[in-house]
Formats: sequence, C-alpha cells, structure tokens
Amino acid sequence: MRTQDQRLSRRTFLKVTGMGVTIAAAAACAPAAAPQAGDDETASGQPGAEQIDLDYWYIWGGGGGEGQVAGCDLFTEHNPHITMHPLTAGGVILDKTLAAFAAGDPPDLVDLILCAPLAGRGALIAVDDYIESSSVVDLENYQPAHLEAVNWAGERWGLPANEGLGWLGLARNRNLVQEAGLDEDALPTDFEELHAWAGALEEIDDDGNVQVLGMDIRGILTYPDCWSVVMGKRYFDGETFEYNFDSDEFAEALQISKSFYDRVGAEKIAEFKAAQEGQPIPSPSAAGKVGLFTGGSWTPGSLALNAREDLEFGFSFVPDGAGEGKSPFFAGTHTAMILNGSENVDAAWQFLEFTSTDEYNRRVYDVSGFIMGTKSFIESLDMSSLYPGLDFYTTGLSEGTRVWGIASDPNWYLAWDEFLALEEEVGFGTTDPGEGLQILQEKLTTELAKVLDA
Amino acid sequence: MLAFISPWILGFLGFFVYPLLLSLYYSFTEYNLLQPPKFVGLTNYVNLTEDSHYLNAVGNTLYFVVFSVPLGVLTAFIIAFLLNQQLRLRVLLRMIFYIPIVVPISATAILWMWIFNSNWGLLNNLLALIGIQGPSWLGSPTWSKPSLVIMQLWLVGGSVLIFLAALQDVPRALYDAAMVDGANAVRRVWHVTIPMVTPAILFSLLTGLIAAFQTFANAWIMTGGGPIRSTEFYVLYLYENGFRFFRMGYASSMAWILFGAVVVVTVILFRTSARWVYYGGEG
Repeated sequence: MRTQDQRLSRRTFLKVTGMGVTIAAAAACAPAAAPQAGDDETASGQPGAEQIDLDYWYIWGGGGGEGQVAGCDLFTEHNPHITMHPLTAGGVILDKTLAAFAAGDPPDLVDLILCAPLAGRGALIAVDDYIESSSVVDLENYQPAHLEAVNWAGERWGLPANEGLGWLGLARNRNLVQEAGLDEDALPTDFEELHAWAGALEEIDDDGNVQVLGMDIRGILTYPDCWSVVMGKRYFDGETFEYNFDSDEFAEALQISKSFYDRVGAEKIAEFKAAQEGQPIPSPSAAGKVGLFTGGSWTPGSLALNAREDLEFGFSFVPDGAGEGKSPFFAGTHTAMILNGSENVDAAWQFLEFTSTDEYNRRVYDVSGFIMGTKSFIESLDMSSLYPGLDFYTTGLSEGTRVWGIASDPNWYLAWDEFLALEEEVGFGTTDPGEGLQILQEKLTTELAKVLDA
Repeated sequence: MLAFISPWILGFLGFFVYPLLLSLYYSFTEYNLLQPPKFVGLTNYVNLTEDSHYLNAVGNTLYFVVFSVPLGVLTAFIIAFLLNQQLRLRVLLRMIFYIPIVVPISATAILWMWIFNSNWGLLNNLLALIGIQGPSWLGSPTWSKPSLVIMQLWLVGGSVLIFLAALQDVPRALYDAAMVDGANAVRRVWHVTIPMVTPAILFSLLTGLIAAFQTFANAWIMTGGGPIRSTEFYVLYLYENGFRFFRMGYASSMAWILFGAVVVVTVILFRTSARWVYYGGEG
C-alpha cells in the first residue's frame, strides 16, 4: 500500500529537479579543476606555461582544409602550450565571422582575402608593433603587391598567408590554338588582337549553340582589382580614400567586357557562367571547349587534375588595356588576421608569425598543394616541374611591369558584387556603362563615408 | 503548470522574442555587426524606397509568389488526385513524389542546373525531339524566373501528401449522392472533391505563400541572383546586405517589411477564407 510519505509530490519533484539543474549549471560554469602538479609540464613541455586555445577559421574544406590543419599541428608541435582549433568556415566565412563577432565570441584568427573590410570597422588588431619587434617576420620576404592586402589607413592588420602567387593570367588551350593555326609566338597584346584570336577559335553550330567558346571573359571580370591592373587605374585609392569607378578607364573596361559578351551573345555567357557553378575556370567538361580564358595560379593545377590528359595549356599576360605596352599582373593573396576580442592576442600573433616561415608553408604545401608567395618559399620549389604553366604565375610577379595587389578597400565585397553585376547588365545592354559607374561610385562613396565617420 | 512550461517560455523569450525585438531596433539603426548600432530613425526605410535593387528584388519575389504558389497548389492537387485512384504501384508512386522533399536543396539545385543547361541539358534535348529549340533557361533574364518556378514544382511532395490525406477523408456517400443526382466525373470533382479539400488548399496556399516570399536557396545556388539580377529575390538581397555588405540595419528594415507583407497577405487570406473554405461538420 502506498502511503502519503512515499508518494512523490509535484512540489518535491520540482524541488529535486530544480536542485539537480542548479547543480549541473553550477558545475558547468565553474572554472576548470586546478591542474595537478606535473600537468603543465606534461601538457606543454614548458613548466608553468598556461595552456592556451586558439580558434582559427578559414574558407577551405577538403585538401585545402587538411593543409591548414597540418600547419596548425606543426605550430602546436613547436608551441605545445598552444592548442589550435582550426575550422573550415566555407564560402560563408565572412558571414560567420560577422555573426560570431556580433555575438561576442569571435575566433582568435581568421583567414580572409584582405584586411580592410574588418579593419575599417574596428574588428582587427593592428600588427605593426608586433612586426617591428619580430625576429621571425621579414617584410622583405613578402611580395610587395601581396602586402597591399594587409593595409588600411596606414597600418598593417595581418600577414599574407596561403595561396599567394598571381591571380590573373591569360590561359590558352594549345590544342585549339594550334588547330586554328594561330601563332603562339605572337600572343595577343591588346584587346583587338584578343578578339581576333577569339574569332579564330570560336565554333558555333547552326542552332546557335557554342561548341567552342573563343574567349571566356569571366575570369578577368571576377574582381574589380583585375580591371584596375589591366586598365592601369586603381578603382580605389587607399591613401586618398577615393573611388575611381567614374573614370574613363572603367567605362572602357566595361565596353571591352561587353564586346566579349556581344561575340556570342550575353545569354550564352550567362548560361556558361551558370553551368560552371560559379567557378571562373572552365569545368573539366568545358576545359576542352574554351580557347582562351583568364585565371589565377590555381588554374594550371586545376586543369592538370581535372582536364583531359591530352590537353595542353599555355599561360601569358593579359593584354594591357591602357595601351602602354605593359604586362599587367594581379597579385592576390589570402590574409591571416587577429580579431579584436581575442583573449590571446600574443599567442595569436605567434601563430601569425609562424605562417611566415618556410617550414609552415612547406607543411601546408605538402598536404594541400597551396603555394605561399613569400620569396624564400617560392625559391625553395621548382615551379616549372610542378604543373606545366605554373611558373608563369611566379615569374609574373617579377616580370610583370604593372604588378598590383588587392585594393585596401573597406567596401571591397560590395564593390566586387556590384561591379560584377554591372558588367553583366552592360553585357546584356540594359545599363549604360557611364550611368552605372556613376551610381556605383556614389553608392560606394556613401558607404565609405560611414566607415570613415565611425 | 507554469514551472513545467517555463523552459519553453525562457527559450521563447530568449531565442525568439528578444532577437525579434532587437532586429526591430536594428532596423532603425546603422549597424554593421562590428561596431555599436547608431540610431538613424526611419532612414533605412526611406532609403529602401529609393533603392532600385530593392525594388527589383520586390518585383522578382512577387513574380515568384504569383506564379509558383498557385501552380504548386494546382500541381499538388492533380498529383494527389491521380495518386488517390486505384492505380497499380500506388504506394511506390506516392513515395517517388515525396523523395524530392528529402533530397537536400543543394543537390536538387545542381540537378536542375544540369536539366536546364541549354546546350546539353535534359529539358532542351526533350524539346528538340519535338522540334522545339529550347531557350537558355538560366542564362536568359526572360527565362530565369520561370525556370525557378518550374523547378519549384519538383518540390510539391509535401502538399501532395496533405491533399492525399484530405482526399481520403472525403466521405464516399457524397460521391454516391452526386452520382444518384446525375453528376458526371467533372461535376463530382468540382462540386464534391474541391469543396471538401478547401481546408487543405488554404493550408497549402498559406504555407506556400510564406515559403515563396522567403525563397532563397535555389537562386543562391543556381543563379547567384543573375542574370542581371533577374532572380535576385527579396531574402537573397536581404542576406547580402546583412552579411556581405555590413548593412545589418538596412537588412533588418527589409526583414520587417517582409514580415509586415506576409502578415497582411495571411490576414487577407484568412478573412476571405470564410467565403470559400468548407470545414466538414459546419452547419
């Protein structure tokens, strides 16, 4: 028989449950148990050293991500008291970083393309003092153009890290070029010649379907920085804080871009773009059907891995749109930076510093194939034997006669997106280049004012 | 009783009401997520009226809502009606129609990019068999939105299930009575089946409308909003502003306008539903 005393009342149940939850919560919130004697030494190899955890976010998954993990492991081997927590944040890394920052829990380190968008909004730690006192980081070892990506308002906010060679070259399908009887010793030096080559390579069937695309213009359109270096006019001046989209050079750039849209029809270009799933390099299936295209240092490797084995590709400078007879070369990179809010800035700097070493870059390269553009590391690799054509993206850094880096533009993402859309609108003939550029100029100037005011 | 539901109440207040109110506040600020928000009053809302890209996104979204929702409901009803007949392999067919719902949207999007490819895609090859040269589906500003509407029909499996349940709930006696009165098959569908499934139609319309107003993933993956912004839908533009262009205040104002629009449409639908929705058991 159940008695009143034995019955579990609702009140008692709630009391017990509440107490249990409180104890569990208190346990979760309590500081970690005090380390036992000897723990420090075992864990870190440095008696008394405090164990530090660093979150490091980057874009790459797959092999690229594995390279980052390997680099982090190597760093921890050298610094046992620092545990790295590498994380593939994917293509939405900026979004995730912003959300984490707003939530008050940003990662310690993040690898993005450039510093200015975050630095201009107070989200980064300046590293000039660290660089100055470092015995490891040698700025002379970096390509000057790569260092442009770490600048904002006269200070440096990170270090170039990962995938830093050239980001703009003209690739040609040598099989198609030879079939068309084009002379590879007389490559196009201006856009008129490029059109002539595209025309000779193009093959369109009776139904209007493009069987061979003479020139895929999308690569050069990818970043406004590409047109900056091709036209010899920076779209953003990081010293005077002014945009130059409302210039003749950019109006002409849009006309050049439109002329390639007009070759086969804007819809075909857009369709081709959609079919490539956002990648500027022709997909494996399309690689044999494109005569000329533009791309960065990843292009030879991707083609070697994905395109048919019998296809051969050659690489050269994109023509000089400014008509000055120069060899334009866009030297993009990725950049590692420390977020404002990191509780371990010194340790984060140690990692940043480590990314400048050949040992780190060798480990990342061995695992992922990523090639960092520091001078000593490039010298340590035999570029000509890695992938046919890759050496162009190395020698281009020194042989290019107009070598520019990424604009230190705090509105780089907006400029990129809007300019890309404008190119398409002009290509389709729905927007006048001058008017479109004027609107873009005003929009970016308004956004820049907000950054500068803040 | 309150103690039992308090975890839910706390979660609701902390993870729903608080962010909701916060986003309302942000809509009156200039906020880049990295620096403290700055109050700017109605500026964001005023700027929206002058933003041609925003107005374009509104137009694109309305197009998608107007075409995809009724077409989706109609298609789901027809499929459910057919699946409700005494067909062989009926169970297998029902499962097949539901499969797209459980396929990740990214995989579906890639699949449809292949189907829509104008050079070697399945759709244009099928059209070529009957002598029609298909358009550049995703490459043409004229055809890009219809393409996404067509693709949306692939995802009607959920509504099909709801219609199927509703159809099976229609009393047999009503059909028998209609037949005794001399109603042919079309009249039985029009005067018996459709009135009896109007609650399911209302439900499908309502959920379809809300989902269509918020359409995002297809365009994000398949077209990136192009060509020439022809598939830049409302939420896509909102997302870009909030998380790529550092304009969370602006994006918040967009979100609240969308919320208002969805509420208005929902209220209108409910208000008018009394005239055309029949709930069994009503007097």
